[in-house]
Amino acid sequence: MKNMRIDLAMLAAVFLAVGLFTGCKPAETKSEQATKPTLAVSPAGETIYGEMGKWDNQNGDSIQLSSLKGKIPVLSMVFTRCTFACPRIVGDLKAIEQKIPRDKKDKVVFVLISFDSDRDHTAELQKFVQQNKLGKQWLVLHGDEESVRNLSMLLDVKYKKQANGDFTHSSSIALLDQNGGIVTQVEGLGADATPLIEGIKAL
Amino acid sequence: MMMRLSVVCSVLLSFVILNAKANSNPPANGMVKIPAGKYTSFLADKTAKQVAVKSFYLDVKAVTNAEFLEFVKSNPRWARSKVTALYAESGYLKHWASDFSIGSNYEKVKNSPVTNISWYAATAYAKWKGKRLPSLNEWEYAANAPLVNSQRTVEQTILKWYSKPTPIILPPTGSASKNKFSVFDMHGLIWEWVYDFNSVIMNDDSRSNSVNQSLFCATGAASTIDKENYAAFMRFAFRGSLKAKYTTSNLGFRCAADVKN
Repeated sequence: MKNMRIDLAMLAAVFLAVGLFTGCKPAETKSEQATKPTLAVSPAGETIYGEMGKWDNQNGDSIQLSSLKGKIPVLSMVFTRCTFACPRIVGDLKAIEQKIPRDKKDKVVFVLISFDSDRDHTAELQKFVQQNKLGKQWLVLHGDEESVRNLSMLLDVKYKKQANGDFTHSSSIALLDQNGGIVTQVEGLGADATPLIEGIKAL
Repeated sequence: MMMRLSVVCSVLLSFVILNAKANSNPPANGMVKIPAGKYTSFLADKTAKQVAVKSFYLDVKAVTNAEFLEFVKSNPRWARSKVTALYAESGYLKHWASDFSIGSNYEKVKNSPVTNISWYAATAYAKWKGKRLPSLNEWEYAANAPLVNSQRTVEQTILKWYSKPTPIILPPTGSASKNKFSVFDMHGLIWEWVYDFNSVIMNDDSRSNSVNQSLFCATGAASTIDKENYAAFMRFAFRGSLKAKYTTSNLGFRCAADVKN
């Protein structure tokens, strides 16, 4: 019973904390925070390609995110040793792949970015590509810690490295337009991908 | 009389600064070397209860309005009218008069901590200084040190601070508290950005499937170690509610740096 009471007190603390800080904000952001937090969408189509960062792909080639200009990237953050959420994200992405209209097939690129800067080097990424039978429209990227952290901020992805080297993380899929603006995102495993597919059709 | 007083003060102040310098061997002015150590994280990691923190340098005080103004002047990209909405929401530096001027409040707020800045802006400032933001673990570890010259415990100081609204003019840095590492105001002045604030994952409930199985069977609160640590719970709840572009009137930052071996 005592524990129960403490839990309630903590819940109250969370509401208080959220209340405190929304209290300092103008009204429009207040309502945004009061509802279920939404994931980042680029203001006025602002590109995330302005952010530099050091990336290399499953073939060991170093690339810049801006090289995706003109493509329609579908992005998610994962790590190759992940046994739970990430295989399901890959499954969700493959399901989206099946639903892309024919005229967009060459444009859409599936981009998986690894949280695991320390361990997910080229060989690991290549293994991941083989195991998951990822086709030529798929890119799996390794980046240094800073690049990964910056990208996670832009996409509103949360992650934490555990002491054993694995990651706890939120799962979301982002759709970018041809200029690297975030069009929409869906959060959660097995989430309804309709906004993404409709988004792809409209681009 | 005023003159004499200010001379005495500045002599005292420089004595303090020199003293701090001699003790800490900082890479730059205003930093102190925090020794390596361990602390018990508020949020449990199922694989490790105590978090080891390597030695690092930490600014003894938060970055002030005057310091941030220098940064903005040298990096106009971060001026209020230039910064893009992806990198800072509309309240960015709203307490300043214009892009490169704090305005008539300058004297009152120049030594107060800068607030209304986004994580991106804080990170850019740190980089410009050749520094970085402290990690969440570094910040918490440094903030857990007992206070000096205070009858109150860290916990009491925080709870007293929480009970008061944020003043319109923030007090100057160095005025709230000082701890055993000679670091000022970790509590009692402002909230501070940390580099990996988005590592706080507190799930709303177990029905959400947005995180992996380490938090799958319970709410995020189940992973807390000290359920009575109300103050830490507030800090983590606050961080969990932030996004990198957010700006609020009581959220600022200080910088850290690596200790080179």
